[in-house]
Amino acid sequence: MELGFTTVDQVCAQVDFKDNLSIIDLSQVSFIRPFGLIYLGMFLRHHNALGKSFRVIPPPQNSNAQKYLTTQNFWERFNFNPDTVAKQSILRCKNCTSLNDVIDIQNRGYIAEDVASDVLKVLQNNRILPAEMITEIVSELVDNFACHSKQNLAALMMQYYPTLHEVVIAIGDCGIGIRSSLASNAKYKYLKVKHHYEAILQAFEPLVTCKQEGGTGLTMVRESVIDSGGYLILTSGDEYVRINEKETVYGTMAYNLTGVQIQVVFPEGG
Amino acid sequence: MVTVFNVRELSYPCVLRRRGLDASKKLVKRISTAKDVEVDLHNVEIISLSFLDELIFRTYLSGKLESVVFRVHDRSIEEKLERISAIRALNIKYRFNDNDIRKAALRGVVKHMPSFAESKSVSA
Repeated sequence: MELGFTTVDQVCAQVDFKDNLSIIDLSQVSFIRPFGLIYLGMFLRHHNALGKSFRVIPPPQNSNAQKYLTTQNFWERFNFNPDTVAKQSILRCKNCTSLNDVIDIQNRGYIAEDVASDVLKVLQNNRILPAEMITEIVSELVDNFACHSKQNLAALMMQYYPTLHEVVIAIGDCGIGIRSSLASNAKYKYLKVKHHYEAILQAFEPLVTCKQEGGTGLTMVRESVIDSGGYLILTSGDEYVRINEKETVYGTMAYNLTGVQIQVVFPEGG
Repeated sequence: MVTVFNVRELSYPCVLRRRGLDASKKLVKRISTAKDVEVDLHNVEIISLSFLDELIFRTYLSGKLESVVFRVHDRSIEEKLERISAIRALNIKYRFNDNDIRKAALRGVVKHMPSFAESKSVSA
């Protein structure tokens, strides 16, 4: 099973919270997409913050998937107790922006600039195009987290698939989510009782923001992704929106996860 | 007399919206001493749409946008000016190098009618 957008919410929805130590079954996972990693990480971080412990029994049977999670420092990063991971050595990965690694993003004033600068260097060093456009999108998404999530920590992953000629960016937080954020502006208070997808779609419209100024960031992200021939998926609460050049679709998630989780896929050179 | 300066003199890096706000304050000050100014948008790795939007919109709110011409060197910046022009319904003047001054044409925004997806399978 691939742990990605189409499956990760089901894995989360199957967790039985009645047990003292809830079990997350990753045994059938053979491949992990950035969205799957970030979404699951936010699920764990959210529940850990609420004092809930988890055990992963059993971990992926697939050794590559198991190694991948370990290399990403997944267990510690998302507040797992390392003792619960069956005696495997936990490799610490460097905590800086690089291709194919998760990084944690701490909410501070100019964090988006710092991340953007790192991302641009990585893309340029690896000759991945369009570097400037991808970097601008990353900075917008990170700044959105910093300005709107009301959370201290987010996670970002940039993954390059050379054979697919794809660059994938995934970023997630477990903050207040788009609906609550927009509804804090009197103009969009009506969204409080609407579906999450309605708030998400609204947020992509020009000049829609919970603040006095701005409201062009997500519009730019959408336009740039469409222009590049890529697509994006944004989930918030129990709904998602998927956008590409041909269509905008929305639907339900099997799990209602707080915050915002987004994946942007660019064709290389797009 | 036209005064020309690079956008880096107003603020750097040119990515975040709040940097655009800083830049607009400096720009408005400069316009009060030199009537017509040209802001060169060259030699910066990334000038984000948010940065430009804030710079342009705040300058407009100060009533000084008419005095500014942006110097652009590539199509991507021109597209951003077009987007801002469309979103804000503003008259933005720019030129490529020493060519004639142009006004940003309105750039349409792609709009789909959203539809409900029964399945999450990604076809993109």
